[in-house]
Amino acid sequence: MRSTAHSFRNNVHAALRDQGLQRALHRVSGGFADKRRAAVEALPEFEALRAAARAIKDHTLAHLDEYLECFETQVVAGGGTVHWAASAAAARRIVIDLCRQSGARRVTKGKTMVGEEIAINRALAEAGFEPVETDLGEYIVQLAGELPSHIIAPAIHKTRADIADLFRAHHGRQRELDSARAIVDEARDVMRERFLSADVGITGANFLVADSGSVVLVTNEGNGDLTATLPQRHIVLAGIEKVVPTLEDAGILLRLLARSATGQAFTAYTTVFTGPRRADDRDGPAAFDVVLVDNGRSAMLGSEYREMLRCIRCGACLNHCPVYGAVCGHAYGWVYPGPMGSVLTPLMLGLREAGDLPNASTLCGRCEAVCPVSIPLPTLLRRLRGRQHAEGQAPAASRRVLALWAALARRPRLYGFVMGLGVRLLAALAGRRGRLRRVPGAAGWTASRDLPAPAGQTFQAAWRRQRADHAR
Amino acid sequence: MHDDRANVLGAVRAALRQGGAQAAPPAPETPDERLRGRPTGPQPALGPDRIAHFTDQLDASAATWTRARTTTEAVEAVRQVAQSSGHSELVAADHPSLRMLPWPSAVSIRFDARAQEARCAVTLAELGIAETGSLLLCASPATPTLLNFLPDVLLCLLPTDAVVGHLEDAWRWLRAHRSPLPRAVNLVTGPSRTADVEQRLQLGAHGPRLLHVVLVDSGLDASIAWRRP
Repeated sequence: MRSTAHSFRNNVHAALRDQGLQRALHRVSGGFADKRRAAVEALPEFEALRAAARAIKDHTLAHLDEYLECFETQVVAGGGTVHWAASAAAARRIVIDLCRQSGARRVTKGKTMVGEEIAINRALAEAGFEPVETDLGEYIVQLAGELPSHIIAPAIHKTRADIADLFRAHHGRQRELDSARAIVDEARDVMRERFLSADVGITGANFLVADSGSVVLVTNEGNGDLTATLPQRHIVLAGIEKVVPTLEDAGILLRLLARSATGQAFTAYTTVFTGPRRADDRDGPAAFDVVLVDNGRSAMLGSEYREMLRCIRCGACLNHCPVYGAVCGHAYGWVYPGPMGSVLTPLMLGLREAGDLPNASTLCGRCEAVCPVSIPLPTLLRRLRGRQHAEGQAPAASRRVLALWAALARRPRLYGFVMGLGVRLLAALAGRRGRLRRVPGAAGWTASRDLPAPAGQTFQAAWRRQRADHAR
Repeated sequence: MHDDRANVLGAVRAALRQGGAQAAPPAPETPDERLRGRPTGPQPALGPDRIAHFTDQLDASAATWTRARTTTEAVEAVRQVAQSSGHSELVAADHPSLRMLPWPSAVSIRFDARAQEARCAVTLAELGIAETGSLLLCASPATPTLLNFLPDVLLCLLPTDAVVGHLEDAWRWLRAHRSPLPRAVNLVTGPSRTADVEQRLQLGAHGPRLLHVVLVDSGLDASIAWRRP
């Protein structure tokens, strides 16, 4: 799907006005964050695990070439094939070729964010295949022709009534869909036949294990396992940063993943896939293909954004972001929303397309505080803002304000004078209430809240007075 | 094929030579050392009783369980769960350890492991993991993977002495007893679930709606269970 990150501002206004969306957001608000907090409180080792996880990712990234080659060697030894894709287009071509080789018609898919990133569904459909999302949330957004609005809860923006309408329109059944149970049961029923008739199954990977050539995949529904086991071919789409050295390392990350994501101690299904079916196995695909996707990751590795490659796609930063919580995922305009998306999208699509995203943050720091691999998201966002400014891409208004501020800040006396004037003026306007209902030039900001007025003197003046008091 | 192997690896190596300007310095360890040493990270503390910890985690994952002292008690537990969930026909993994159990004539059980037709299935886990309340199930000729996912009800037998402590113990066991790794190693932790409709949890999304674990204290031959038949 084409990015609309460039019209972020319009997207945000639309999202804030969308009453259905706001109702859906209100209903789920805080749920993930509360569950995560409970899970973390129940595990005294959580901080130690975080430190270990960060060390695992840093070590692996520092030797990424060696671990990728090791992974490839082990996959091949187990009878599988590894394909390398430098770009999204290359990854799409590889997948399409593999589907053709299998003479496929129907292609089932587990939830894969890399799949969204390379827009594989559209490519499959254009090549004449029938892609079927099997994760319930992904299936719902596929029916709606939308992108996921959350990386682990793709249909978080949909109400039960929205979903019931979609099912009635697409399934042609006349059943009561008046409860979540009824919706889940209908999806299970419709999907079962599609699972059984699929020719190729595509999944993502949560981790690639270099040591054994294995792919670790977690799901709660079991759809990933049915996708990977029923068809003749299992294709795994994975970013090159997904590799870890050993199963022990994957285990450390697994202890953090579900707790950070949904607040579960462990996901219902965690599967270690290694190679195609064995000669005497009763089920499993005859072909096992892993597509390693770069698509901008090696550039991140060599840049000041390397830490972003530690990301394990848990969604905790989305769940704790006040901006995401207000506008949900679609406003970000592309596949990755929230704080992680505000770093990834500009790095993958360019600042010209996604320059608003790094600015759509108060830098409150909750995202970094909850990140299981301690990615300094606010620092990376600030770095992107710096780059945007240095490259002359910041909006003219903000450049002018910053230039004015910089000119003042370099002249301390003038700065003190002007600021003193400003705070006295605001304090006078605010009167005894101490708050301003309207501020000229900031009507949008004050539409939904008051501006607390400054205390009537500048910090520097207060500081001088305090020092003088002390000296006495 | 359109393979970018040289391009991708070349770009990765160039990036590593350049170094992420702000990246933390890598640990002094080399990949060889790490792969040989398999350092173990922090582990969640377990309660004093490993089995009790395991069954607590089963409860937390919404699985149900029975503890059976003998194989006779075990098959009775299977019969009861099948009956109470409305199933009169059981499809079981075609595994010698299951075939040799004292199934009463009142139980209709087929050992053909045709998962597509199974609504209520019986299978055998190779390990339990106390830390997470997970069952470890390996793909094998006797224990097909689909049996773990297609039925509505999954009954899983597990020798009580096959409950290990942590994930690391399971990885070690796999390397010792299942090397090279089977095509699929499933860690199953409770029944299938989804919260994709308004974030409200529903069990039985695509996999089993009910997962019942029967811990068998004696008579379920672990050594047979642990060998690829």
